[in-house]
Amino acid sequence: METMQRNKKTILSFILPALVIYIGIVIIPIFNTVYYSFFRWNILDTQKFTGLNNYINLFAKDTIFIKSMKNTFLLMFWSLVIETPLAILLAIAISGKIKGKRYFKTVFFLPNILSSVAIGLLWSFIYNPEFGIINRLLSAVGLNSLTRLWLASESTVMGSVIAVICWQFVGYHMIIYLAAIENIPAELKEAALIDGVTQGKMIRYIILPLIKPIIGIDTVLMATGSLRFFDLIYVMTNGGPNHASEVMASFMYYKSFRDYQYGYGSAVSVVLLVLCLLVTFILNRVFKSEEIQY
Amino acid sequence: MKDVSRKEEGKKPRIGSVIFYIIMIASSITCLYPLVWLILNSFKTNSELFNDPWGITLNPVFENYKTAWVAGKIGISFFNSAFVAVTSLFITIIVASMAAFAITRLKWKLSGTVLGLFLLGVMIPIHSTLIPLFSLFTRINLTNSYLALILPYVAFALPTSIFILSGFMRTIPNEIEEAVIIDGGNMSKIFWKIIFPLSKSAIATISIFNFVSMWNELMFALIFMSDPNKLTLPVSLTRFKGQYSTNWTVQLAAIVIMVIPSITAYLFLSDRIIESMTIGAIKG
Repeated sequence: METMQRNKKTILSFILPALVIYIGIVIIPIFNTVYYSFFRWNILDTQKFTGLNNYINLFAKDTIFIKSMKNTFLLMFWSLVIETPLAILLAIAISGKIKGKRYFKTVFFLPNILSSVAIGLLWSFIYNPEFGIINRLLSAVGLNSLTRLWLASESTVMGSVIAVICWQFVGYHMIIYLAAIENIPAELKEAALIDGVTQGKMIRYIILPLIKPIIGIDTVLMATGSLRFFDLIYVMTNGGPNHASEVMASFMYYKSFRDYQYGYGSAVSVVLLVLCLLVTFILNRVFKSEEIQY
Repeated sequence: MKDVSRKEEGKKPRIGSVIFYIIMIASSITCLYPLVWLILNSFKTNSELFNDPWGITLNPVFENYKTAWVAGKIGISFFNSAFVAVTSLFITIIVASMAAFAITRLKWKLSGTVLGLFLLGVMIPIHSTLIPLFSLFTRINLTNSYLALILPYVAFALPTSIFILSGFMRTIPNEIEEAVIIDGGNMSKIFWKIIFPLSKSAIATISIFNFVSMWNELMFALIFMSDPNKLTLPVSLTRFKGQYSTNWTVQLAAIVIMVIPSITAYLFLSDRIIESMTIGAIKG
C-alpha cells in the first residue's frame, strides 16, 4: 500500500494534467504580463523596452486611466455600502420560520444564475429613454422632470450601472449571510430571549458579532469582484459616454484589444492584479479576529 | 428570528408583520419583474412594445424567436456554447479529481505546496492572463477554435474545484483502499472504481457552479473568437445588439433564448444550485 502510494510514476500521472494546464494557462502568462508591461508594444511596432514608462504614463498622464480607477473604487464602495447591509437584513428576515421562506430565497438568488450579458442587455431596455419602463413609470406618475437618459448621460451612468449590480448580486450575499446566521446555535438566541432581549439588540449584540468573520470573507469577495468588473459595463455602456463609466477592466480591454497597445494594456492588468492581491491582504488583516467560541 | 418574535406576539397578526410581508413581497417583485417583462415583451412587435411596454400582447409573435435563432445565428451560438461548456466541464471534472486524488490519497512531499499553488489561482483575475494568451493563441493559430476557450475555462476552474474535491476526498476512510490492494488492485483502479464514484456529491457541486460560469463567460470568448459561426452565446448577444439595433423585440427573444436553460434548470434544482454556487465562496 505505502509503496504504491509513493510510486513517482503514479503520482505524476495523476497530478500532471492539472498542473500543466494550470501552469501553462494561468501562472506563466502572469509573468509574461509583468514582462510585457515594461515594453512599448503596438500591433505595428516591434517590442521596445521602455522600463517603467507605461506605469509613469498611466499614473501621471492618463486621465482616462485615473478616471477608470476612480470608477472602479466608486463601484466597490457603493457595492459594499448598499449590498452588505441589505444582504444581512434580508438574511435575518428569512432566517426564521417565515411563510414563503423558500420562495424568497429562490427569487432573490435567481439573478445570479443568469449571464451578466443577458442582464445588461435587459436593463439597457429598462433604462431606454423612449420605451424603457423607468422613464415611462416616472411620466405616468407625473414626475416627467425626473426622466433621464440613464445610460447616455455622464451624471447618471455610474449610478444606473451600480443599481443593476446591486440588483444582480444582493441575493448571492444574502445566501452567504443566511448560512452564517443559521449556524448560530439556537440556544444562544433562546437564552437571549429569556433575558428579554429585543429584536434590535439581538441583531446588534448577538448576530452581528457572530457573523463578523463571514462579513470579512464576503467583503473580500465583493471587493475583488468589483475590481474585476467587466461584463455589465461592456454590455450596457462600453465605458461611455465619454469614458464616464470606464472601469479598470474595460479600460484594459479597450487599450489592449481596441487600440492594440499590448504593453500599455499589460501595465493596466498588472495594476489590477496587484490591487486584487493588496485588497485581499488588507481586508484579511482588518477582519482578522480571534476564533469564535460559542 | 421571526419565529422568535411570533412566540412573543402570540397568535394574532400584528401590523408589524403585515408591513414585513409587504416589504418582502415588494422586494421579490423587484427581483422578478424585469424577467417577467422580458418574456412578455419578447412576443410583441416593435410597435406594440413602443406603444405599450406594460401590457400582455394578444397576438404573440413567435417570429421574433425564429429570426433570432436562424438569421441572428443565436441557434449556432447556442450549440457552440453548449459544446464548449460541456467539454470544458468534462475535462475539469476528470483532471481536477485526479489532481485532488494525488494531493490527498498519494504520499509525496510537495503535495501541500502544489495545493497551495492551485489555491493561489483563486485570487488571480483572468485579465492578467489575457494578452499573453491572446498572443500565444494567435501565434499557434488557436484563435477561433473551441480549444482557445476550453483551455482557459478548465485552467481557471481548477483552483476551486481541486480545493472542494480534496476537502471531500480527505474524509473518505483509508480502509477501503487497503481492501482493494489486498485483492490485487493498483492505484488507478482505486481511483476509478472507488474514490471517483464515491466523490459524486462533490463532483455534482463543482459541476454546477463551473457550468454556470462557463455558460455565461464573456471576456475570453470576446477576445479569442471572432468567426461568426464559432461565437458563444454571450458574445453573440453583444454582436446582436449592433446588428438588430432597431429590432428591439428580436433582441428580447435572443436574451430569452440565452436565459431559458438556466431558469429551467433552476426551477428544478434551485436548492442544489444555490448551495453549489456559494459553497466555494464560503469555504475559500
